[in-house]
Amino acid sequence: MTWINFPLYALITILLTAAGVVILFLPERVKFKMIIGNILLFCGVFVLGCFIALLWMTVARPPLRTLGETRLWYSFFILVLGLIIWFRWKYKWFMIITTAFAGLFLLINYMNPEGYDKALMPALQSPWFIPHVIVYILAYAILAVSSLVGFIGLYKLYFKEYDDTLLHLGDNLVYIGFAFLTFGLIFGALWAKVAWGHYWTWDPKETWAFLTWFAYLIYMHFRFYQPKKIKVPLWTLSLAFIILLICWFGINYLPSAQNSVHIYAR
Amino acid sequence: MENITTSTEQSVNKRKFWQFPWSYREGFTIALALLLAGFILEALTYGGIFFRLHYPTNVITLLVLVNIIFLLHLYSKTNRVIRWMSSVPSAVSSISLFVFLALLIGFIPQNAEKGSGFLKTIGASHVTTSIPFVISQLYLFITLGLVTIRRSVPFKGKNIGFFLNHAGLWITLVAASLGSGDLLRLQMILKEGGEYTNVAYNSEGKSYPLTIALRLKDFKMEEYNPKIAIVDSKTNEIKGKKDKNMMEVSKGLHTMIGHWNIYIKDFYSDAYAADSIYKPNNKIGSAPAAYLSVKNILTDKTFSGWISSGSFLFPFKALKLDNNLSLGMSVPEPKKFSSDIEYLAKHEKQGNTTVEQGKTTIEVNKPFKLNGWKIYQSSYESEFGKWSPSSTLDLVYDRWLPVVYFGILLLMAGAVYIFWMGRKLN
Repeated sequence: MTWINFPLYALITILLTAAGVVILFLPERVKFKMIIGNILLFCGVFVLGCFIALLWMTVARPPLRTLGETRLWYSFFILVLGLIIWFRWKYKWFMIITTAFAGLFLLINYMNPEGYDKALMPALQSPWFIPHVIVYILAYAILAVSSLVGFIGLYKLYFKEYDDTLLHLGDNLVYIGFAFLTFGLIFGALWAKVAWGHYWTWDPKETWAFLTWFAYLIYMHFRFYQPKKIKVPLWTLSLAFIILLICWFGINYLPSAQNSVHIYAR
Repeated sequence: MENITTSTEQSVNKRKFWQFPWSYREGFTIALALLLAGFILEALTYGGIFFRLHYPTNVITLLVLVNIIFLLHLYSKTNRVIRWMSSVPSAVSSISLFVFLALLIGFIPQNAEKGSGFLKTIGASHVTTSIPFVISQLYLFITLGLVTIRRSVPFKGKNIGFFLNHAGLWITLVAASLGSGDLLRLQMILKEGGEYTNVAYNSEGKSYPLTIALRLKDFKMEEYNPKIAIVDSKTNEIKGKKDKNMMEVSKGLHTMIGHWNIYIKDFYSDAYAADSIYKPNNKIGSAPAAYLSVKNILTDKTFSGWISSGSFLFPFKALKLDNNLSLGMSVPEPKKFSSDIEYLAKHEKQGNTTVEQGKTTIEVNKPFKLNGWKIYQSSYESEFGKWSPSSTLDLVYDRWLPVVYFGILLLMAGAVYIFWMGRKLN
C-alpha cells in the first residue's frame, strides 16, 4: 500500500461517510435508516483505518513523520471522535461538521502530493502532536457551535420569543467542548515536557489556552449556581468565544507573543 | 444549598452588602481587595521580592496549607464566612482573580527581573513570581480545597466526577506552583570528542556541579535533500511564494520553474569544490551540490552549471538565469539530529559511593533519564549544520513531577466523565 492508492481510498472513505450522514437525515419512516446509516459511517472510518494500517506496514515505521501522514491521522481521528459523539449524544448535525473537516483534510492532502514525503521538523515528530491538534480542532468546533447558541439565544431574547432548550443545548456543548479543551491542554503539557523539558512555561499560546479554559469554567459554575438567569450566560457564551479566537489567531498580533514557540510563520 | 431568591422576594427583602448569605458582589469585592493588597505589598518591597519556594519550605507550606484547609472545613458548619468560601460565587471570584493576573501575563511581555517602571513595581512584568500572584493562588487553593473536601467527605458515588475534576485541578496546580521553586533547567554545551564535564549552567550563567558527568562522542544529523528555487541575483533571496516555487533536489529530476526547464544531471549530498567543479566527498565541511542543465523556453537557449547551498568551508553558488534572477539551492533542513554521549553517574547508598558508567543516544523528543535528571537534545551550532562541532543538551530536574502527573491523571479521568455525562438536568 503506497500513496498511489491514496486518492481511491480517500474517495471511498468520504463517499461512505457522507452517504451515512445523508441517510441519518432521511425522514423517520424510512426503515432501518439508523442501522444502514451507522454501518456506512463505520465502514467509512474503517476504510481509512485500513489505508493507514497498510501504509504503516509498507513504510515499516509509525506514519507520523511527514505532513501528508499527519493529515491522514487528522481525518481519521476526527471521524472516530465524531462517531463517538454521535453514538453518545445523537447530534446528527455534528456528524456534518466532522465529515466536512475530514473531507477537507483529505482534499488538502490530495491537492498537495508533495506533502506525502515532506517530513516535519524533528520537534514535531512526536506521537503527541496529532492528538493535541485534533482535540483542539474538535473543542473549537464544538465551542463555536455553543457560541452560535449564545448568539441565537440573544437574538431570540431581544427580538423574538426565548426558548429554554437552547441554553440547555449550549450547556451540554460547553461540557463536551470543555472536556476536549482539557485534553488539549493536558496533551500539550505532556508533549512540552518530552520536547522542551517543562510542561508549562506561560508561553503566550499556553496562557491564552489557559484563559480560554478558565472562561468556560466560569460559565459552567455560573450556570450551576444560577440556572434561572438567562442574559448573563448567553452573553458569556458569546464573549468566551472571543477569548478562544484570541488564543487561536489573535496571539500572532500581540506584542507579548512574538517569542512564542507557537508562532509558526517567522 | 445556597438560597436563590425570586425577583419578587428580592425587591421586598433586598439583601444588604455583607449581609449573609454572601453572593457575587461580596466575592468580587474580596477578590479586588486581595488584588490591591497584593499590588501594594509588591510596590512596598520595591518590586524586589521574586517569590520562589525551595525544598523543604515548599513541602512545609504544602502541609500547612492542607492543615489550614481541613481546619477551616471543620468550622464551616458554624461559620458562615467559611461556608461561603466553598460556594460557587466564591469559586467564581477566586477564578476571576487568577484569570485577571493570567490576562496580565497574556498582554504584558514578561521580562522577569529585567522589567522597569510602574509595571515592574506592581509586579505586572513578572507576574508568576509576584506577591499578587501568590495571594491569588492561596485564595484559589483554599476555596478549591474547601469545596473538594465538602463534596468528597463523606464520599458518595455520584460525586466521583466532581472529585476527579476538583481534586485533580487542586493537586496539579498546587504541585506545579510549589514545585516550581525546585525546578532546575540547565544547559551543557558539549564539544565533540571532548572530556567529561559535570558542570551545567542556568539561563543566567550560574554554574551547577552535578552528580552526573557527560561527554559527547558524536553529534549526528540527517538532513533532507536541499531544494532549488529562483533567487534574486543580487540578494540571493527567494522569489515568489516559498512552498510553490521550491523543488526538492534529486538526481535525474526534470522540472519547470517559471519559463525555465530544469534537469538535474547530478547531485551529491556531500561534495568538495575545486576550481568551480564539485566532487563527492564527505569530509568535514562538505556541502550539497547539483549539476543542472537549464533551457529557457522563451529564448531556446540552454546552459548548465553547478549550484550549491554552501557550508562553512565553501560559498553559496547559484546559476545565473538572466540579469536579475538566478537558480539557487537552499540549505538542507534537519530531518533528525542526536548526540551519542557517554556518561558517569555517582550513586550514594548507605555511605558507599558507586559510579555507574554507560552510553546512550539522545534525540529530539526522546530525552534520557539519569540520576533524577532528564536530558534533552536541544540544539547545535546551526552555522555548521551537520558539521556542528558541539551539541547543546538541556538538563531538567523536577522532583514534583510525579505529583503533577497524578493530578493530571485525575483531570483526564474527570474530562472523560464530563464528556460522557454532559450536563444532565433534573
